[in-house]
Amino acid sequence: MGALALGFFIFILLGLPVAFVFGLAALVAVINADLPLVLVAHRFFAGLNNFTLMAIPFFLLTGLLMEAGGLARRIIDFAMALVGWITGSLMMVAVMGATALAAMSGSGSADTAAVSSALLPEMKRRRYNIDFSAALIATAGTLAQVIPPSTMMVLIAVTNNLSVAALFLGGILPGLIVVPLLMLLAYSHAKRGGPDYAATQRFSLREVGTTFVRAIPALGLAVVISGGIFSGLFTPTEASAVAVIYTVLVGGLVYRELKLSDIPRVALRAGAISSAIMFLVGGATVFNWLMATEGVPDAVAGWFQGNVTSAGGFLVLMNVLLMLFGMPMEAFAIILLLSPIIIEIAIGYGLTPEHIAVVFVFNCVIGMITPPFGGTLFVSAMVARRPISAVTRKVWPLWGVMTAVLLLITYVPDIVLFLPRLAGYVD
Amino acid sequence: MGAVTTNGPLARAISFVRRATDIAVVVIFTFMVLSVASEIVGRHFGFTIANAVESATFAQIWLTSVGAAVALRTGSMFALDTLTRHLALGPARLLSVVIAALSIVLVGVLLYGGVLLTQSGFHQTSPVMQIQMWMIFIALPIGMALLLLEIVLRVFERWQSPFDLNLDDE
Repeated sequence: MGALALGFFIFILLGLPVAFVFGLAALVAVINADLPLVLVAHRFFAGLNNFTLMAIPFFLLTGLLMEAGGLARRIIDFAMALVGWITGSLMMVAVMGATALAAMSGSGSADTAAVSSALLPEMKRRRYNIDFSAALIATAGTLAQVIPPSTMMVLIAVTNNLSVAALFLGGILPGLIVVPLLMLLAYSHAKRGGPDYAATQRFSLREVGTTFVRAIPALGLAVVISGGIFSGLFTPTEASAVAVIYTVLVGGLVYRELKLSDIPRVALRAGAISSAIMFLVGGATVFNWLMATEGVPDAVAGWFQGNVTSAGGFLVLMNVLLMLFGMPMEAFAIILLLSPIIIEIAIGYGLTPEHIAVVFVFNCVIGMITPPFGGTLFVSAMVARRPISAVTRKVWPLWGVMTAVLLLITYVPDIVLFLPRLAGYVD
Repeated sequence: MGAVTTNGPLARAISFVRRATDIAVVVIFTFMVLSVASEIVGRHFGFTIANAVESATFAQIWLTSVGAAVALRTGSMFALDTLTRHLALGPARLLSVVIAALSIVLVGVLLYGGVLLTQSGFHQTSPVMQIQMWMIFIALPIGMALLLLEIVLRVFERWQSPFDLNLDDE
């Protein structure tokens, strides 16, 4: 136990790639316990030998193909027609566009990149506060991991033997609660910002109709994914493969923006990101196996049962712990490291694992906009060509909104469980 | 330290290996998508091309093993820079060597274990397609050998600025 924990924190602080940290810490523990070295390779292989996990590379690829194939731009154009007449129009479009993209892509960074590239140059031209705009886009971009499909939901479901479809359904309402709150915050920012934020176009039903028709093939992706999964036509993994093919066909044949020569470049990028995540999964499989062998989950559960008497107290501690981990650590690593322990303990308090899994992911999502290592914050700051510290200063009100929703879904489980119950996934 | 980036035979060999790795990642990824898609089509039209669950999962193991080298090279592997961003060039270089050495230990163990698994795979077949398991297990030593190469090259290629921030996906 000591060798595992010490190894983990030393290696992570040294700056080793997180993908290697789990494996190295496990290796130290294997050597310490005098176990055969081949065990590391064996458990690593076993961790990757999982069909459901394949949804992660496929949803990542879909997100990147949507950007390259012009699907993301059509959706943003439609959002512009819908809400472009409101004060602070481009910020409203950013939130709406990111929400629509979230329903098709499982990658927060891909969505943030798509919305940032489409809107930040125009936001700069109109003299919007670019740091707040970038922070807003980064926050809206995180919805990709809350609203299905979500690669984090897939990972936490696989790690804890939960239904991917149930977690996908559980993320819908929390995601939809965030949207109007972000728009309200953006509106109040725009109202205080003066004439630069005035809407430059009027509402036009005709424009809404035209952009909607152009966006129909792109929006169809959400129907294919969600419709396919929730109707029982496809498993989530199959839906992710269908999503890739659908995106290639729409981007290549309908919008004619995705060239055959673009596909290898996009596939290589998605392949590299997927490999980094999967390597993490492989290492974490060895790490978690050793933790289980050494009785760590039982020891932690015993501590909680001895010191925290109520489920409410446990939930407070859980959220604080996850927020602290979310500041320096990558969300996928936190899911692999802590979710098996936390969900096991939560069950002991009589909590529903699907509820805790969605709250867990939502908390990790907040980590994507929390300094010092907010994933989507980096992407939007990079596209905006602004220092990360400047964008970070403007993220706190948005962080506050996300944290308020986190508390809401933590203490009102029905918000998360309503749809999974309705679909019969949860009793 | 710039030897690996000049246009000598070594640089050409490295470039060839990297190009081959990139192509392998794209081919494997394409196979995975088509394999799962063919399963769905087959299910609805009553035919089976191959067992997608098994073939695509095995391809995923190949993708992870071979793609890890691409991930490291392209900056897709996230690392905490709390310590590294504050270091002057000398200590940063030293730390980059330490990180490379520790990474080599892990990857070396995976390579060694992968070789042992591959040897055992000559006597095992997969549950559904009945293919010899060494064809899957060998992905580990091949991928780890490629990753070892990238770990070493990374030290040389980033010698002037070992911890340049690489921004990539979550």
